Amino acid sequence: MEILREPTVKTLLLFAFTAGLATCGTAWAANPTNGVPRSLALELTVIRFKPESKDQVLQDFQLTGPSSNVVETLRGLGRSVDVVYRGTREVALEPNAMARFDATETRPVILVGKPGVPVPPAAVYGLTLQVTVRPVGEESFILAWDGSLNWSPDLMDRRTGMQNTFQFLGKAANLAQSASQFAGDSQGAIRGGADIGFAVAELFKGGNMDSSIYELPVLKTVGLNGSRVCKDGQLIVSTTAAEAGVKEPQILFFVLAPHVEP
Amino acid sequence: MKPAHVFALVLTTVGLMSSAWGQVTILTNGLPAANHFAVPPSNIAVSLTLLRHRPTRQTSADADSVGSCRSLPELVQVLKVAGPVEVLGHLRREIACAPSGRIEFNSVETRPAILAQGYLPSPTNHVFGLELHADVTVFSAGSPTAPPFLMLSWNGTWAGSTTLLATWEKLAVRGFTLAAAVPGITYSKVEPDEDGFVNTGGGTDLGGLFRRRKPKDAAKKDAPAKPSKAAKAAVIAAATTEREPSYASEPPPEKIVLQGDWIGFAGQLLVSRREMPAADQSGDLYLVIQSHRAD
Repeated sequence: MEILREPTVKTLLLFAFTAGLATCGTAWAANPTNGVPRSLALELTVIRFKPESKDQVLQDFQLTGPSSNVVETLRGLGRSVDVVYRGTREVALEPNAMARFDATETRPVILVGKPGVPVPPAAVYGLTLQVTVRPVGEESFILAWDGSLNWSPDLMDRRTGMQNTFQFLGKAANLAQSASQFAGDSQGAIRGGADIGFAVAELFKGGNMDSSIYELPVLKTVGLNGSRVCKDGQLIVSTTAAEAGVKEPQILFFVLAPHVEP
Repeated sequence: MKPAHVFALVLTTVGLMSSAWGQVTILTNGLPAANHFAVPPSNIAVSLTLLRHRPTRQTSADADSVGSCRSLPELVQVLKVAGPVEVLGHLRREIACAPSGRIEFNSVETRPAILAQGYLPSPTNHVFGLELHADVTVFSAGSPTAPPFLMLSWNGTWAGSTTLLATWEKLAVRGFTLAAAVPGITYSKVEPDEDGFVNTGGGTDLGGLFRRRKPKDAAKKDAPAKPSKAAKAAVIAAATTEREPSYASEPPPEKIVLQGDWIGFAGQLLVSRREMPAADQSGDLYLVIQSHRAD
């Protein structure tokens, strides 16, 4: 579901930032533009990765190539790989071009038979991200992105069947979770999962006693912002160790792949 | 010696640049103008890591050993010698600096909870995690061919709870073999407890914190008898202490301010230590930042 919003101060700042970058970059570039209109395909993939060992939380994975290769690479390194979002947007490679990757959903909470019990505000799960594009040379362009991801590892782990996420399990987890395993053509599975968003209908169980506490799934918010001067095919990877400490380590990968089209 | 290195040496000599250790602060007022030479837009990748270190002895890790580390794995190895190390966060972001840019490292979590008694206040839902932004500036002080300097200025907080961290440890029931490699990081139980709650290891298990357990002697009495469901319900109803909300156990959030400035070269390891407050054996918090060219 596309959510339309009025331009915010953050949006304007993002534009100003990319404009500043482009001004500097254009002054530096020998040949700023050649005037040939082109389009840019942006492919965004969000991956939840459970590493094989805890030491891998600190590893620099140095991922390259198309996003399907990223999945395959991580699959060989960890216990499981979940593609939680994949979307593609087309924009013109011209100043002030912008693309939005929005896939959110809200699950309000209602307690039946508990009048007067306060309920927390409904959490919005999913991805909200905008990417601003500005060319700075014949082959170079600047991407600046800003947004956030709200998600819950509790909900992802509790799902059975993984209807809305595609899970690629590593060798360590195959025995325990073979029912969820996708074998073989991972790229096809990824393509089928475009703009899937999240399905989070579950409310954690409380007891039947009046003194029970109803726990909602943990809500994690990861901020996403950054920018890069890049060329066609260069992979942009941001990582966030979403679960660390004494808990089961998990890493979120945000992989943005730009492709210039003639 | 390259001109850039001479410049760094001068900065260090006059006190403008501190070593990458401890409370990192730089007096930036005396810095020369940033761009002596035009610096093209540079892609800088910044990795930020938060480590919790609990030295087994009373003293922290040796400052000289920590300060001489050149990589994050090396630092972890040094700290592990002195005590368990936990990775509280590890984030990597990219920024195009022309010559400066701001990047945010935000990763927080909440676990909303509802009390079924309408007449009682709801448990407060604290926000735990990291909220920090950093300004990155690239400047060249030597020549166009010299490696550029990086200036980092960061400001933010880490909100956590040593009580929660200790609770997570108690919940960790599996002696994972790799715990020996990184002590303090263990996998937690993924099974429903007696009340049907599932701790997937992903959250804070607030219910477990709020609920009081049945007294041990009462539990022993119940165990061999194996009463019927109706009898068990009556016992539970009579035992008012069981699963009664206890607000006294709610972990207070502890906020640690993370602020500083630093000048150095790409690839250098910046280590800043903070003492974690209050609780016993809370240990030290290490902020580790490493940036490198991402072109």
